[in-house]
Amino acid sequence: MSLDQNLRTMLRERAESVTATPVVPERTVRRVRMRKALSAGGALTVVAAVAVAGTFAVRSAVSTDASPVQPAERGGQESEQKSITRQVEIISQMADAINARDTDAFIDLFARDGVFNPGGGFADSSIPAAPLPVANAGAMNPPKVPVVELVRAWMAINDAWGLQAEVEVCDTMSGPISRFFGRTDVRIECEVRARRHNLSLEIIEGWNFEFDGTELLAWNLSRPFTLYELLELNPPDRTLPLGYDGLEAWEEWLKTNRPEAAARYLNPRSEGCQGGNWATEDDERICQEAWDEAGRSRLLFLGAERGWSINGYDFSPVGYIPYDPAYADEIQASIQAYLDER
Amino acid sequence: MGRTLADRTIGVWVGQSSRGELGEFYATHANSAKRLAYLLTGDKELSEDITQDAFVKVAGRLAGLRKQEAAAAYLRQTIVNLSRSHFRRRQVERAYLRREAGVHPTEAVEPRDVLAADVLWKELQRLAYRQRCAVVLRYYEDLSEQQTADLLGCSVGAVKALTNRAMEQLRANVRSEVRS
Repeated sequence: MSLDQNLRTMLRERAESVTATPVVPERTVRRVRMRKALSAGGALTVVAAVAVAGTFAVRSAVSTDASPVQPAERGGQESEQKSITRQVEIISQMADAINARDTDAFIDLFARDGVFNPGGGFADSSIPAAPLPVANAGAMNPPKVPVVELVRAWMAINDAWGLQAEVEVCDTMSGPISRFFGRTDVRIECEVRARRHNLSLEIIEGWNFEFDGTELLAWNLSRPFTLYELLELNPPDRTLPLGYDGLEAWEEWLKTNRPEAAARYLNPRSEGCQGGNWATEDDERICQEAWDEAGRSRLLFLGAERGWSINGYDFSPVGYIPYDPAYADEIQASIQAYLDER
Repeated sequence: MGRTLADRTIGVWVGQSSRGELGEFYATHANSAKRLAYLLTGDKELSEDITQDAFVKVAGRLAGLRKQEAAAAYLRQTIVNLSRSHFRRRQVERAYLRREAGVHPTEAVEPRDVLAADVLWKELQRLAYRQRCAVVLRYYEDLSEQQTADLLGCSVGAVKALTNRAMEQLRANVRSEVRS
């Protein structure tokens, strides 16, 4: 028998050695239910307000059996639905706090030992380029400066680019997967339409949340080593003129037409895997393979050659916007000139 | 012989939300989905997780789908994407944690079915993910080169290259294993 035939036979036999759970597992039904509550096409706050009232309507939409709901089961569902409602509220309030540049409200949304990943690292943090403890309590390595100051600096970066975040759709993912918490019981990934008005840039980012019940343990943006993959760099239905490709086109235009400005504004991205102090050559190879597969999302691997100081704190950007916000006004004017000329 | 996702068309569940329809959709496609995930990952537990993840995603996204036959393709695409994500996430995260901790790895334990004695099966698991994916889609799902290219997000030429290299590697390694 040829290799082709052997291969086909082997694949069929192997495949038939596994069978799926015969009926939809209750956990899957719960996740579908949660997804329905969390995915409201930009109307998360409305969903949050009506989610409790809609408990049984939602349940009936995904139920897999015809048996009546028992009182004890109903109590469990109500409790779970309250958690979902609160989680939806927190996600929505986080977008509101960021849009309002409200540092205190933002921090208050986290658990005492919650962490967030600011898309870069503060030099004054004891764990630069890694998630930052929002509150010092419970942190193994508390930063040397009050976290509120670092969050305020991060908010100033968002303000410089005129960030407006709009949560579009969220999804729960399976498994308590977290490097930071053993007690994560749900991970929620959201697609967020991120408009940076001062860059005329609109992309869809992945925002990822880890909850223990209604406690927000962690929040981070899509990043290479968390490998959440919700990211659309060039959304076709954007309202602002530039997707990421457009921003890069502006960079090229700037280099050609205003080289001196380009030297000041643009902050070259560093390469992703080379010189990364990998434990083994194999690890570096794995990184390189992920890099090769990542396509345009590889931008999330990239740091930048230069950091900058924001509100007196040194920040090293890792991700897709490496420009120093000190030049925000000039960059905004330059992009406008580019758009006018385009 | 089991039917693959390519053989099936979706039931009445798509785009509707009446009682029991998720169950019907699941009953029609769950085995095919899990089998594909198993062939792509070589791990029975992981394939169950991926299958459930896929149904959660599909349940949320198919409401507006008009072409019912597209649902099976969407489910297959979701399985392929999730398998790749799980595989890559685990690999890269493990490497990253080692880098952060500054430690060298101990013996790596791959999630492999311990009962897998079949040489060809073992060699299949040793292929790079995209090669394995191309082989499984071509030889198990019986997809055309164009369909495989669409699923993998690459050209037909790339699919040919992936499949040819995979088959060469399988042929050489199986021969070597049998000799030893």
